[in-house]
Amino acid sequence: MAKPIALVTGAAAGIGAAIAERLAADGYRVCIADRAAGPAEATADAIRKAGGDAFAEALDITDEIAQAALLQRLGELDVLVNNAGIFDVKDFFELTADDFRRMYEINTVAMFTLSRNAATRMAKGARIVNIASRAMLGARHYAHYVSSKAAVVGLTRAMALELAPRGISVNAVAPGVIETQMLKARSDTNLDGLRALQPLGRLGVPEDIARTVAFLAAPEADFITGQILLVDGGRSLGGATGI
Amino acid sequence: MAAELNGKIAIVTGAGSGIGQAITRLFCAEGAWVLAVDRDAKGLAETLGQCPPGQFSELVGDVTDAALPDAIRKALPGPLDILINNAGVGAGGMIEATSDDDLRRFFEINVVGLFRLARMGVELMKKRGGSIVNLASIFAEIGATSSAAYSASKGAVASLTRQMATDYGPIGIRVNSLGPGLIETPLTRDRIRDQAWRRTIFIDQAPLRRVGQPEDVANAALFLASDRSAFITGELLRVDGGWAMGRYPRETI
Repeated sequence: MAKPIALVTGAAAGIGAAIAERLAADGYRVCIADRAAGPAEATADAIRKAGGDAFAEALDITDEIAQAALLQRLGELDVLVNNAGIFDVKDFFELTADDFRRMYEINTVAMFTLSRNAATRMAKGARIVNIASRAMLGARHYAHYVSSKAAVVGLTRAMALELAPRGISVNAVAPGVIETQMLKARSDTNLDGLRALQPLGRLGVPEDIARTVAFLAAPEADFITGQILLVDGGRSLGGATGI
Repeated sequence: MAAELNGKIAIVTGAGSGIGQAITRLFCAEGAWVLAVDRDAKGLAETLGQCPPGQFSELVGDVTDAALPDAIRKALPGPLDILINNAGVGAGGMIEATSDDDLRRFFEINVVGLFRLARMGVELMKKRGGSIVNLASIFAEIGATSSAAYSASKGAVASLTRQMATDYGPIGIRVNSLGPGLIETPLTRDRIRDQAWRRTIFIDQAPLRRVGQPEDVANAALFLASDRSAFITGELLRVDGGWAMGRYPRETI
């Protein structure tokens, strides 16, 4: 039997790479799509060395023609993980319409076009998993990111409803604070301070997200669609007094 | 993913039928040792007939019995890792058709019984952490027809879950709930067959056009019980075929 095919966008590093590694370990043939061809190839290579099946594809996620060409090359597609996205910090009064547009273009519009193009090729039982963010609940200093991820939530639910008749489920994972290079590179970040806000006492690691994506992508989640699953170590709960 | 719960000790209440039976069967198959609790000895026997010997013990008991936690403590062979608070009652009617006693009965079973076992669970897990999964319902979140006492009781379960997750996260106890939609079990099978409105709302107008099976919920319980969900706490995971997003008449594609 041929391996199921999974496409993971933004998979060269961080959460995307962890998702790709996990899906490869679960028996998928994984396409590592990223705008950075070199790092994507390195991630695919690492997966192959670990015994998994993966290959890299350079993709500018906002280029719809490139998306279509990639899907054409893949042929079949069983699982699409829409992970590619950008983040940056900018106070509300500094934000411009162009900041908003760029954020939406990558985090939301590209997710829509790739999903639409992919869904036309997907068979019954296929899965789409979108990476949203805990920021969908609201956060300070990046209103453009917050609203682009809230849009991902709405898009996920709308796609779940429109694709349900085709037997394609669509869910989202909303990560809380995950320790990635992207996070560590942020100058505004005090990791210990963030850790203190976590009921589980630790920040997330990319594998936390990868395991949840793998669950939603697997046949065992067949009755789950339109769900937004927070993976945030309890950060969104009320603060604890400690025991 | 073979034997995901190897060496884990779990309690499943309401293990004698439906969702609890499916969870017990799956957890045993994944290597856990399960204390299967139900007030129905016959149902328990049926469940355990589906599980490999040596993987379980049974305890006939009612969650409304204040002495049940003590009986459970005595029956456990070691430190508890997983508690699945599944036992509960369903159905009911509109508020006008619900007496005080009806309401008390729903709360006694679905809330007080679960509360008591959850308290026992955190006491038993304090040293090493663990995972508690409470069976709430999609009715906890959506105004569902003709289920006044049931919906209110499940709302209590969902908020107790979030509350406990806040208090016990710091010592490594995760608490999550499941929000099943309509699941076909021995309790609901007749209703699904006999009540046309139920089929209309839960099948014809439901996004995935089917009711759930106990295995659908068991798979989600396994995810929340296992280390795969190590960074998830205080969440309600819907297993509802998209039903919480609303009712949508069929359209051709």
